[in-house]
Amino acid sequence: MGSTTAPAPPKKPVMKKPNYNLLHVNPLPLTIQALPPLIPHNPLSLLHILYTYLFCRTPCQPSPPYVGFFNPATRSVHVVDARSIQAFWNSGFFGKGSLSRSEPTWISRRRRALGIIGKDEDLTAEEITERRRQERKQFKLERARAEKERIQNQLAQEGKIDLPADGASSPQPDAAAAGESDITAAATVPAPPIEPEEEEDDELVTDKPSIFVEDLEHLQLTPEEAFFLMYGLGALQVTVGPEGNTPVDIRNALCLFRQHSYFPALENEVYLQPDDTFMLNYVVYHHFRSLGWVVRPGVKFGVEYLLYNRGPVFSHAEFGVLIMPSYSHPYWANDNKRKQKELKPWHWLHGINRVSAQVKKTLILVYVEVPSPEEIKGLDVTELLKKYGVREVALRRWLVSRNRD
Amino acid sequence: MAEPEADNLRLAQNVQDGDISDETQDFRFLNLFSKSSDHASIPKRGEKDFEPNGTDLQDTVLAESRQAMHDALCGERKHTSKTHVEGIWRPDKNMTEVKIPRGTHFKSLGKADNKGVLWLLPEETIYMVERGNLECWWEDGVPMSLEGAYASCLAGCGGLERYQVYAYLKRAGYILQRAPTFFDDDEIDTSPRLPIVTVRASTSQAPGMFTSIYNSVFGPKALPEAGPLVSESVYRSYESIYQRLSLIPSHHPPHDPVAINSANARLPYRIAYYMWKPVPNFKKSDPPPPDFRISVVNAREMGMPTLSQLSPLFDSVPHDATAAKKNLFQRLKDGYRNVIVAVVDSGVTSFLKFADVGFADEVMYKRKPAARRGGKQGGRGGRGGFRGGGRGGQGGRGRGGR
Amino acid sequence: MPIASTVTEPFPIYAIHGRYLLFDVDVVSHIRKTYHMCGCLSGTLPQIPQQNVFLGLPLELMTEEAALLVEKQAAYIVDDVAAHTRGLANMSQETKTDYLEARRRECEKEALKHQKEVDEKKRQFKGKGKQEEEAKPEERQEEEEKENGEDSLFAAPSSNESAVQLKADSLLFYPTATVSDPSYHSPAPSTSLVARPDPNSYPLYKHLHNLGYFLSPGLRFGCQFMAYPGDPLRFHSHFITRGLGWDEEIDIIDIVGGGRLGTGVKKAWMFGGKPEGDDTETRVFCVEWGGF
Repeated sequence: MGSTTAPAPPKKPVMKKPNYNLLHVNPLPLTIQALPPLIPHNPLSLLHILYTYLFCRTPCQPSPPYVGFFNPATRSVHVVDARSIQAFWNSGFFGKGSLSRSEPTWISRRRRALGIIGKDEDLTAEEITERRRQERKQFKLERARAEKERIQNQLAQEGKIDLPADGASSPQPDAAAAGESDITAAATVPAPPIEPEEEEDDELVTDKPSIFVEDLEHLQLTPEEAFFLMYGLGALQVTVGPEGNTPVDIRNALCLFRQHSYFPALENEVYLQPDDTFMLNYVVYHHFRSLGWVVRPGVKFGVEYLLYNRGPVFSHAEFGVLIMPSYSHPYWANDNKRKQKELKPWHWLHGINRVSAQVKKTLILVYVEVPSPEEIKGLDVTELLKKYGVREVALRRWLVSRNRD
Repeated sequence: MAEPEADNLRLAQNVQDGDISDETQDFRFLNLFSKSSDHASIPKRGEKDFEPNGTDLQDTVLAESRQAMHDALCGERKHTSKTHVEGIWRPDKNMTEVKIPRGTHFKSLGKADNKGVLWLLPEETIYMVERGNLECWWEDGVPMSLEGAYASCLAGCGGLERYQVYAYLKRAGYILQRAPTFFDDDEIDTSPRLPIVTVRASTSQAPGMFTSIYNSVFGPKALPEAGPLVSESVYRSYESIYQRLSLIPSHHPPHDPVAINSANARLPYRIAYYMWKPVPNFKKSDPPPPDFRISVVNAREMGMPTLSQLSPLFDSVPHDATAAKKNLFQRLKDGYRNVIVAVVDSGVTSFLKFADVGFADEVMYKRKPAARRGGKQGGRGGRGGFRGGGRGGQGGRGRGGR
Repeated sequence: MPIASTVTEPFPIYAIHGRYLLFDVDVVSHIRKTYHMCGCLSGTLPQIPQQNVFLGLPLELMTEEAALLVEKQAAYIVDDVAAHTRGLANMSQETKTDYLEARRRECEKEALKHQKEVDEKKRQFKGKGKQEEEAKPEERQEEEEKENGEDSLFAAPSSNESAVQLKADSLLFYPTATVSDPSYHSPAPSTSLVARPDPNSYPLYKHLHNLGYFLSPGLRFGCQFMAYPGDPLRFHSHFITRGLGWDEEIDIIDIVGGGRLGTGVKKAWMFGGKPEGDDTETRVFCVEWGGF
């Protein structure tokens, strides 16, 4: 191959799809013991049912329970043992890998970097994206160079500048120059490294790939996810404290999460409000989870949550959820600060809607009716949650020309 | 394959969510446009420059473009004696009196009185004068200029934004009429209005006989006060687990036709116009039910509606009979009732459709078994995610880049 | 027709019910060229009325544009509703008659011109031979008409009706002027109406305008203003911008959303504002989605 020919396109990596249907068969991290179906003509099936009913009575919660500890610095619940991580991710897509974009994949990328697994084997989403980014960057550089050349030629034609003797404009390889004419007048932001700094690992010998690599990644649960797993499902035990081993019960976890939904965190639960960010977020989270949706954070799209049918590996999210606190109760009538918060500008709404539409999601405005402090005074968790009301409104841009015929 | 779509911004350029009138178009292409009336003939995005580059070429093109715009704006508003229609603006009535209406335009506009005189609303007046189809006179015996038409008639239109929306939609070919709620009701009830509550606790479906007997003997206990909601016992199905989680009261839009109530809707969140797609035999005195209902708001004066403004707006429109026949996803996007809000900012108009939906009525956990078997009949609103169609569904792991 | 070389400043901006409009095409081109302000054309273009891609007069100005033009003393605000009411009421009968008369004459002149063109076309159709014969008597009649001045229009119908008078079936045109005539409309500056833009966003507007950007309403794109490096007729915008009060809070999620919005359409999302005080500077910040 001559040195001037374009490099051959990369060989398509071997695609080994995991069986997602099998992997994610459980929608929640609880086990059920289904009764076998009744076959009318077969009396044995009745016996089978009876047997299952009487003797297969394992409670649905995990045993031992899954555990996580609350880290106030990250305002999230960290889950470190592999069994829990797997259960939470596989059965309902809870949490996020602390060193990954979504599903914990750091260990794969680490192993690939250490040469333990092949270059194209089992590519993770992060790696696919990174490769794609590189290709795109090349394309952009080339395009910017061509554009610059075109302008130079035009200016030369008009006699405004002199081109160098060889006629070809000098190559402008650096990203900064290309970035100026390609992106915007704003400074180019260098791509942040996806992989963390290589860590010293005594167990490794650099030449030969060793078998054991410690997984330095943990699963992070948002407070809403953690509370749902604790309070809704009874599948998670949360611990707090400097050693991370003091268990906390549901009531106290609620206070803790509510206090930490402020920045800086509230020091005393006396200051808690009915419209604490955690309360609003949780009410909506619980609402959609209880209907069977997989609810994931939506910050990348400027929304609170994304709703998936079954999960991100199966399809893209259909809906983006925007939480709109509503202060209709007469108690809030004279609260100017809160009334001000309700007055969102139209251009803001257009912006969010546009981002959602760009990625083919429908925006759902979820209005949450905030109860007055008196209404919720002294109420325990379940009764407290029942005091909030949720109302969804779907939003779409309406195009004049599209709807004409 | 968690979220490749997060990076897939190339989609942004391909998505058909934009309107060609979003971007200023070059008036040099006005002739092309008028000939074919086909938007495809307008050069797309690539024709504009990124930034000024100091070339004379660029300056020349810009000058030509500006000249083309200037020439276009000099276009005269006129009609001939063959189609001549004259009107007199009556300020006491806020309407234009047209004694002899002629031509097709006036067939769908205005209202005739029992003497055969056609009366035009202020927005219809400005619109026809602007188009050049009407010669309107002041009672003082002077013909109106376009500027004069705006100065005199705009007050009766309910504001410049209402006129701009009216004209925009008329130009697009729709038929418009004022809704009965165009202005605020005269009798405004000033007593404090309690929030309208449409929200109720979720109820699962009524259990069958066998299940209810079973439940009464072995059934779930009341929800524990401090959780967990799912008790430490055996569950035979995920459905029964989900039912335990049902807790948050939520809104259920009306599934059946329900009486319209416009009393609580206040400007600007009131229906201003009824709108129809163009049909040949439209009877302006006896129109069919409107295809769309439009509310108009000035973006500089008003923010988004609060729930206490949006709820009465929904209550003032009828229920959509086609909702029940749609598939779940379509119903969650189109809703049982909907309103189009036309938002205007300094002459720029944008339309958003708000739909009254109820997620609590579309329970997802009941769909799952069918989905696992390889796809629900009737589709998912066109994206076929379960079978791995679309952009990212097919076994995301190891997809191998572009 | 060529763009007028100069427009007298200050020129009037017509305030009608709280909105700022321009009806004079020369002023529209002038502010575009001299002040890099575009406003928003919002009227039906009579040449192609059934579309919304190319619109015509009137031009609506953003409150910021009106305020800045007044600040620069390039323009002044007119209460146009009052100006018309007053002007019409004060119009003398004589002025009215003169105005209507002049208008009618203009109308007929146009009609004659048009008729000539139509006849010319017909002649060409019939063939060259006949053309020359028929042209002469008509041409002579028209020359006579010019010599006699406009009185000839009131003359009794002569033998050759087609030249002196308009034919019974000839087309008259009924034009509507865009701008109101000075005979009934004198745009005096308003003493009470003032353009008051939002103090949270006006500093950003002014700052970007001073730097030479063209700014237009950003509603459809999800921002307050779109900033263009040159005339929007020929350039794409660079920034989608939002003005904030110096102490106004903004949610981080909105910054993320803004960055995403901008990068998705190859622009940068910008927000900025100015602290209180006369000698403070406006600061702006740009956000882009990193790593693409």
